[in-house]
Amino acid sequence: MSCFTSKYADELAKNAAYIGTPGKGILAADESTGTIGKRLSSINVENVEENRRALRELLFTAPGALQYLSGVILFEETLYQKTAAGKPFVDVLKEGGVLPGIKVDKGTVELNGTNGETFTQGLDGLAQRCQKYYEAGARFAKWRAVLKIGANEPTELAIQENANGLAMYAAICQQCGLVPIVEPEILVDGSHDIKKCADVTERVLAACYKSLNDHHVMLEGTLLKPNMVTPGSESPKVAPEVIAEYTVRALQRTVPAAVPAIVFLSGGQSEEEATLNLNAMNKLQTKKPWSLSFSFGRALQQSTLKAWAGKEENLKKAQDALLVRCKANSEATLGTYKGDAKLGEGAAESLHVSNYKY
Amino acid sequence: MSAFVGKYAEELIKNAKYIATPGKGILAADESTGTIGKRLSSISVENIESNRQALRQLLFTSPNALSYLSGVILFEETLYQKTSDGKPFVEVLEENNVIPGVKVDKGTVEIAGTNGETTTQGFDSLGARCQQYYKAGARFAKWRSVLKIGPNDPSELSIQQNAQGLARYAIICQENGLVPIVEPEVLTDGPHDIQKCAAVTETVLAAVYKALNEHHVLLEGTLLKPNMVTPGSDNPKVAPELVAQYTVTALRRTVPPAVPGIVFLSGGQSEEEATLNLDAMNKLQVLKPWTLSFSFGRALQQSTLKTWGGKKENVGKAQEAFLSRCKANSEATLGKYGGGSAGGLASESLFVKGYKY
Repeated sequence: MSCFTSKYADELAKNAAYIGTPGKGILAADESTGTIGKRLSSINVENVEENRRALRELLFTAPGALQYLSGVILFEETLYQKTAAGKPFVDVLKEGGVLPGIKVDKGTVELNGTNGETFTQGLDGLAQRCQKYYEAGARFAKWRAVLKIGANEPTELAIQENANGLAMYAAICQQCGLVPIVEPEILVDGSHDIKKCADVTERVLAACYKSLNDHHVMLEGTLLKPNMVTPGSESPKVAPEVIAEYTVRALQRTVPAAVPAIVFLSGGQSEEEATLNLNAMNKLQTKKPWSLSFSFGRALQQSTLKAWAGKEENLKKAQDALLVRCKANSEATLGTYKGDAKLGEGAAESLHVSNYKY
Repeated sequence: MSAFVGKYAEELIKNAKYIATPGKGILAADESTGTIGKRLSSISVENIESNRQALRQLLFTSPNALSYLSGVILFEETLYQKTSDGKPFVEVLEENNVIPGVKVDKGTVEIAGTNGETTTQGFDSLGARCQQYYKAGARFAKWRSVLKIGPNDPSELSIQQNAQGLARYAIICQENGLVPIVEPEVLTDGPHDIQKCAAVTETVLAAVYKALNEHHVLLEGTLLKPNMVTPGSDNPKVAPELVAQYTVTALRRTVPPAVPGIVFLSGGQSEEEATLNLDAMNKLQVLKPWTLSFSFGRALQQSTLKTWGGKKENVGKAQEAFLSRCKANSEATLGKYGGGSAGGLASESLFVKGYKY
């Protein structure tokens, strides 16, 4: 094979396929300590370990929510945390039929000589870290590469560096038993139209899959986490059907059928927007040899966070809010969402933050 | 878009999709004058224009055969030939819902400094030639790139040159209304095993699709003509199910779903072998977002040629042989081939070492 064969090959393919189960998706709860701090401060909660732990316990023990999830991405700290009753989060997830995943990148740094373009670091000692995460129960990993659209961006340098970084990360993960989620996020920031976004997305994805092939990555044991194809943040919005058409076409032109599932990031979309767009894609009558699902962070947690506001008495309200979004997105993966989810406070609120840094 | 959407875009998409119709495939009848000469001499027929015309007339007027074909690739000379009644071949095909195609490359030349690796020529005035062919009724084109497997081959240089060449040819075709068939043939010659062929095929196809993306080729308006993944010619054959598994896996890993159809070359396989392998692929229970069909030359014509022997009195029987292969391959595209159309001739290997067109 062009790809490697490791002892984990069958397991990787099985886990990647499971994550792509129709009706299920991923909760991205891997905010770094700094980033989760911003979330907590927005609801006036102190950024201490206990509060971070309490928030994640709220999410992972929300009654009925786990059935709509196939995976949860964790930050390293969370991988080793437990419920207040002393049960490891990893066990809570596994018992709920949810695969634990782990963010393994170490953030972005600027590419010298470019107009603020970046590449992602985290390759040093990655294999050793992955082995430890596997021992702790993780079965998939995530690494976020970031590109932006501008007059001259993304440059060929940025595309190549990020594609190469993703491919190296993916190959190392597979050697260690972790399904790599490949995430080449093209930021929505800008005044460009949807056609420009489509053009850039197709170019970036083509480069990613060439790199993955060069690095002998086994596509059947990977997942893709791309941006949806939309107009830039400064341009007028378009209908979900239009987003669906451009997004799915871009994927048809670049993502081989061997990839079992595509789990979209929500970028700065509101909870409802993200769900409606995902639903429109799954309704589209066209060739889709991979399942189309979600890997949402903000777009799953926003109204939950607001409902919680850090207060124990709000626990049930907050968990109900999460369940509403999980169920809505589950229906969206089947193209059956009717847009009737009880909108929690903030569900329609845009979550776009200019030049968003995790 | 990343893809070039010119004035022919809709027509290209429609034609590519039609060629990929399940139950149909392509007859590759584009042998150059030199190559058809070898075929004719193997049945002791003189290589003159009237004999070349007679052979192609035999094929294109075979009763009922055209219903199993969506396209026929022609050599330039044939594009302008007529039946003995004076009807242009192009019209015969069009009236039977078969799209005429044309070979546009001008053969291979060696790449200096490599171990006999080649690149394909034919770019000079390619756009203008495509326009002429379009006027004459052609709606698709074919360009054959060749790679070989060896200890150090294919080299990165060869892969890049051939991928870039295919991409450049493809976009020029699309600018001029012809659906480009992209053909990166990895030769079967050699002692390598099927895994090696799979690895090389995946590497080559990944490079080809990267190049097509760079050149803004509209994938929905193209077809792919790859080799099947098999052991090297020095090795024992394997079961069709194995060929199917390795081939479809390689394609699933590299060919984007936007491509409507994949039409295999037969390489040196016998008529029956090629049909059985194609059938096995279509029986495979795995998700295939493109149709899998045939673009066979030797594997459709071999027994027909021998049965004809250049004699007018044999035309009827020869046409029956041709119909039989067309029907068998049509069934293979649907995974419904029951075997048994293999006469002795149909099982004869057509492998020629280092095959040059």
